[in-house]
Amino acid sequence: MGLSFDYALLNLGRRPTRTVLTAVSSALVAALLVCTAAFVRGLEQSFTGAAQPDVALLLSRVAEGDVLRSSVQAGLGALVRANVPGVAVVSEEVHLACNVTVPGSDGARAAMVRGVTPAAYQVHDAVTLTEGTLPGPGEVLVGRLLARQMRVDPSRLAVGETLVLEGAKHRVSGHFAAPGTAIEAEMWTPLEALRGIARRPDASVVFARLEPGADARALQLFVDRRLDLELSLLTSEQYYADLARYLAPIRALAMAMAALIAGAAFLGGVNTAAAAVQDRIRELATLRALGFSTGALWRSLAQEAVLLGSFGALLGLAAARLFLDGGAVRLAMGAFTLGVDGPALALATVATLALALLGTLPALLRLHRLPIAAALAED
Amino acid sequence: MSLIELRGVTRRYTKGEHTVAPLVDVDLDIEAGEFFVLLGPSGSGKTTLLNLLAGIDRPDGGSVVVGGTDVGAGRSKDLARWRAAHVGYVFQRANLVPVLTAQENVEMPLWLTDLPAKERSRRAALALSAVGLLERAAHLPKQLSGGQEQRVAIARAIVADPELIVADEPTGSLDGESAEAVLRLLARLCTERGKTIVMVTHDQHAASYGTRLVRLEKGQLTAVEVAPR
Repeated sequence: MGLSFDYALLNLGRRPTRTVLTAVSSALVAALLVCTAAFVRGLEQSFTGAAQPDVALLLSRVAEGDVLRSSVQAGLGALVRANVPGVAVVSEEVHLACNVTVPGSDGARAAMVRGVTPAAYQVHDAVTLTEGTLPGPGEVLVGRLLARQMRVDPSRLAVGETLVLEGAKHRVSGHFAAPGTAIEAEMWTPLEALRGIARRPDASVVFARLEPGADARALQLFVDRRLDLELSLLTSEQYYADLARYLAPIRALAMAMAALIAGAAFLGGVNTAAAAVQDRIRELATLRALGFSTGALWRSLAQEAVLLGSFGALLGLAAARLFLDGGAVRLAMGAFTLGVDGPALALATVATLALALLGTLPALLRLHRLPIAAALAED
Repeated sequence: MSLIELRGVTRRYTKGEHTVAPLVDVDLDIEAGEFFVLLGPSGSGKTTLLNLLAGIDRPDGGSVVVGGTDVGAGRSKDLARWRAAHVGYVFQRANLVPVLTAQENVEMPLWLTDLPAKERSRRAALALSAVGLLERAAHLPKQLSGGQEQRVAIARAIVADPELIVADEPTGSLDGESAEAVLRLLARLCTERGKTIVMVTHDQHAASYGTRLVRLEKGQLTAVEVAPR
């Protein structure tokens, strides 16, 4: 037996200002932790989400895995399809960082443009047409996050609007989504049209989807035999893992920020618990004199901290869900969405409550060492 | 056998470079049912002695045995449990928990027992009734007068039915009328319920309620004759 739960609950009303400030700081911590978790998870998912175990990429060897630097001969897709067993679909693509001008916005902006054939829609599973039609010559299909990435008003990229791609006018034929992948910040246009605009007779990459049960050994054999093509083979998973590695410092920075937030929250919790003990030193000594153990007093303090932390976390998580969910973060040549999902919310809740609880541990030490007789004489 | 036996008890404190010894080799026996009053000037060690009896302080030398338990030894957790069952402490200030009602404050020591909530509530009401404050059961401490607060503290001290009640200048912060009520209450607990009371005071009038008076000065105890009240 110990102190009643009501005692902990009523204690929260003793210093209303402090209680409110502590709840608000818990809410901020929870919201910041959700934000960081959503950022890191969004960043990871934007690459891992696009990876498919049955898809491989053929790039030029000198490109060292960089699609933008890669140049493979036009028609490589058909060559692979004809010579490599176990390949179901090939998508020959041109990937370019282009200057795009959106009428009504100031100046040209850089955007990732992908020249594709209809086969691309069979290889990139995540891509779904959400509005309009697939692009024909002089048209582009716009990813859901492109407006955000280019920092233009989404209405400027509505279906039927016109934009200027490398000096040539293009009409927006439709929109696509590719949830949780970096592809959403791109625009797609027919391969031949992009070759004409960019004056590029080659391709950047060939994506090859393998037949069920097939593996990439036949493709590797093709790459090894056709030395004249100077190709390198990457599985889709390897390719996106390499891309994710480029952004590892950003991820590390976000994690460091989360650690700093957690550290500050811990110290805040320590301070609050210490203040609670100091404010009630005579009362706590009285309770000890009445026969309550150190553990009983600490449990009551911990109940207060967890109650306050829970309330704060609830506020913070609700705010995060309301304001962050579905938001997008722009990177130099891409963008990704912030997913305030179950794991992010659970992580932030557990972390906030754990921090609230940990913050009371130094108070436990103080209570354990409390000289009852001296504390009873405190004013 | 006495309820309380102190043998060769010494207690020292270190304050900076100085060592103060309010109790030096003290021997004392207090019988069950006594209203024992400890007199002495400020800083003479009265509260120190009371704290030793109540098991919230430990002697540097000697032994303090209360009801057969050596309260100078043992783990603090065990002593806490012992205090809850055997000692009721009335402090100079009531030291009530401000966020709890009078009834809840009185009930607190029973939170340490296995009694069901209904029985705890009944006993707290009985204790409040014994101090004449049942009608104030739902009041918070800030809604009570100083004397009423101290009577609630006495109710809290007796609710678990301990054999020993220690009171540290219980009337020190009360006006004359309230002080009188508190002293009468303590005397009644002694005579009607057979409780052993150990009270510290430096007020001669308060001391006159005791059945045995002892003066503590310079670390030593000397008996004082009880003047008829």
